[in-house]
Amino acid sequence: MTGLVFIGVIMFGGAGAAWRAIIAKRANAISGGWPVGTFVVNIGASFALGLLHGRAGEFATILGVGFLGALSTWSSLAHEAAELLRSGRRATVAGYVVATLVLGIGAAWSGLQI
Amino acid sequence: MPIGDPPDDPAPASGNAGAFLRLVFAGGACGAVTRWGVTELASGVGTTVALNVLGSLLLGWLAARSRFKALWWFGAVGFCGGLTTFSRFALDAAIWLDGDRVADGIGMIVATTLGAIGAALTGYALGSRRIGARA
Repeated sequence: MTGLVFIGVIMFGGAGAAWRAIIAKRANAISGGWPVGTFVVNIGASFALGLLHGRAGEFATILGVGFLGALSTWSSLAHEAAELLRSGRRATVAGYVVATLVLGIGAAWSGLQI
Repeated sequence: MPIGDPPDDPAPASGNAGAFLRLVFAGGACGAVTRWGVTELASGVGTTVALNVLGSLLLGWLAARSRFKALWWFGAVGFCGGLTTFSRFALDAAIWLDGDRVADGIGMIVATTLGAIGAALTGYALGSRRIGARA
């Protein structure tokens, strides 16, 4: 069944990344420079992965590792934080990173409880 | 700067939305399957931390180097975005903090946060320096 997971992670990973890009484009256009798109997908995907945790089977792996893994991202978060640091917006960086960490980990925890 | 757009073009024309999505899809598929493959070979929280830091380093470098929208969409938004993951990080952190590994959980959160942001800054600085050396 590794072949199914391989194909599934490719297809759902691509879809997760594409949805992240669509949401980031839409959200960033209205957020006035605050990276709300990345913020929203990271928290949403963390909650969904918490919900999914403990479920066995190929589709859970495809959805969790492929779709939710690619929907959420650390590299964009780190790059956005770096961009804000380079433009001297230290308070915004701290707020953005801490809010993502607290709400993301809290969302994963909430998903685990359900 | 929004992550969806290349560094040199904060407001690209919206006419080629199809090409944009195909490139992000292809890059994200490559990044996600690489992450899955590496995790199959070496599963564990350390692998996720390493991939998140490495992907952030590469994205920082691309942010300084990408002069082509296609490379930014495929490599940065797609590949680096698919290679790194926040949801797995948050789930591991939640499990450790809620269990009896609070100190490990805090250490992992701090290492990932400082490591990834430091890597993004370092990658950008490396990319910028090479441009400066050529000019």
